[in-house]
Amino acid sequence: MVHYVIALPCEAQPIIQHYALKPCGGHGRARFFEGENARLVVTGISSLQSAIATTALGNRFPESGSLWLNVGICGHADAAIGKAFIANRIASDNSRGTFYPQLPWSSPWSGIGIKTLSVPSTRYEADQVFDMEGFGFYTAALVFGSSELVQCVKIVSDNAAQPADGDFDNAAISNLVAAQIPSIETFVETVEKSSGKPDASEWASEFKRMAKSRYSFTETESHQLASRVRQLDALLESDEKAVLGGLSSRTSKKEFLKELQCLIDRHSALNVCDQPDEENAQISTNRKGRAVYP
Amino acid sequence: MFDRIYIEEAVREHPRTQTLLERYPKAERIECTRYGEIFNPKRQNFRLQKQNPALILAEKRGTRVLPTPPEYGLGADRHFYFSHMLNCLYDCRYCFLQGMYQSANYILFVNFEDFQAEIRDTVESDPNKSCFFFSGYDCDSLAMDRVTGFTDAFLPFFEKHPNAWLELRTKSVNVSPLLKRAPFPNVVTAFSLNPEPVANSLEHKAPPVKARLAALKKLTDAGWKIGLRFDPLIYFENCVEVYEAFLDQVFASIPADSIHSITLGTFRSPKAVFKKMETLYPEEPLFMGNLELKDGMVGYQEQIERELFERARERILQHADASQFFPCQSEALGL
Repeated sequence: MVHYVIALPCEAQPIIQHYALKPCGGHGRARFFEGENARLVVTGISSLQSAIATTALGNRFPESGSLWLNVGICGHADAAIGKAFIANRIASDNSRGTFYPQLPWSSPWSGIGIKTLSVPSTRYEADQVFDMEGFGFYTAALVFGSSELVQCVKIVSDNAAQPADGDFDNAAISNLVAAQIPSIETFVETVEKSSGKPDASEWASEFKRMAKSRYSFTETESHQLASRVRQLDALLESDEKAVLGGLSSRTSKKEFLKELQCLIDRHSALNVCDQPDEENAQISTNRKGRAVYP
Repeated sequence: MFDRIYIEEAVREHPRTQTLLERYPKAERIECTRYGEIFNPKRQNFRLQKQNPALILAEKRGTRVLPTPPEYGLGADRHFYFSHMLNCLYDCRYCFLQGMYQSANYILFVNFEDFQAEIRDTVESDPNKSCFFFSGYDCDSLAMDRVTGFTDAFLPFFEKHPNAWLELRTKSVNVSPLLKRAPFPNVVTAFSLNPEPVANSLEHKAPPVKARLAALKKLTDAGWKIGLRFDPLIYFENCVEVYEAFLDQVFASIPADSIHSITLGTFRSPKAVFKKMETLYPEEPLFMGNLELKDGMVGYQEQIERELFERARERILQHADASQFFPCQSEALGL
């Protein structure tokens, strides 16, 4: 799931269309949109508006591990209109501190520093772009994702040769964003492929439900149960999991948790190393699917 | 090799910085005031960054040479460590670095001359006592030597200070910086070694054990002293037999008189570091079973630890002299 945070409706429109997002409420002036693979908030202009709307979207859809992208227009001294950058440094004209978004993946865009301004300016600089939301967005989005998963993509809409005049040409801005959608999509795919965590299996959910229906766990025991079931889910094959259903019928709560730990001890010792299969001393795979070399 | 290089403003003009920037002209350059702005913030994911770490060029300030804990000695009068780099090229699943730092980016402290001045001061503060300096605590000493130029800077320095010993702790097979020089006695290249099943499963991106043993052999043939570091021992099914056979294999391939020292220790980690490693790799069996918390350290259950350690210790002492052996073992076991 990717969360887009976008200041203007005209910037958001191409992305809303691309993902076929539907309106799903809002917070103050911010408007939320949702689809199968993406959510989006139209925040309004300013660092503060962006921060408020980002926080609202994150609280409305609490979910760890998703990508947060601020996409919007910016000004630069001499970069061509339509050129896009990804932020490698984000500072503000009225807040202390600097963010350095971490990017351990290849990106379709060159990196650049962003300076988030409180008021528009045409005193363009060559080594950074000006925007009005990046700093607020980043401050707020870091609550919901790590630095690698919070990124700002900025598209040049004005420069020294064609300075901003205060009026937005909505159609032109939509076209600038639309032109970047293939790159944005490639980037999102790269990040999601590299950062995805395996979901808990149906077996794990069902096993925990069954255990909780039989025993009344304290808070600490519930954490132990969740942790042990997660580990067994990773360690055991399907057929080994299937026979675990019988465990809880014959033991006390403490013995039940202890038995789970014994299983973990036994199976982690079996799985920690890939050992060659002595009978077939050729390359094979172990139960985790890793190649095993003789 | 690096897509991004961060440059601390204090070292922007340092010759080592300039050389590195010339060497990686395509890397994106990002200036910062202090490396901590990038390395220390909490909301970072070590596992994601490990896919493609950036390089941070920085100045090491404050104390650069630190005393080691007493149990990590190698028989010298005094023992110290220093870290010209933080983080490692390799990705060993048991390594404390992944639980220690917020970031997987590599920091290279380019002011080698300040490290050397402090090492010199340390040695000269008590010239009658031998000093041992460990260089591979927060990084692999040789793995990124082609980038850092560490050995070119430090081998001549230690050659001039015979009462100061240097340990190069490594899994790298990049031993050419040593082979191109005549050997001298106060540098010990210490290889971290584990049997193949452990290395293949847990020592990601590190050279195969066979290649490490071949590199070791080249060094001993050239007359350099080497160290053997069997640390951490990993528990798994049949591990005792596997380790015993492995120890036999290692000692059979190395002339005994080339061995400076042997260390041995089982997998252990401070609780907070362990918790972080476990969170980063929840699917990793190494962090799941047969462990217990003792005095703030997570390690193997006492019986497992005792058997694994004792059997390995006995095997080592069949091949080596006790004076070369420096075990690292929980005080709780009283071994």
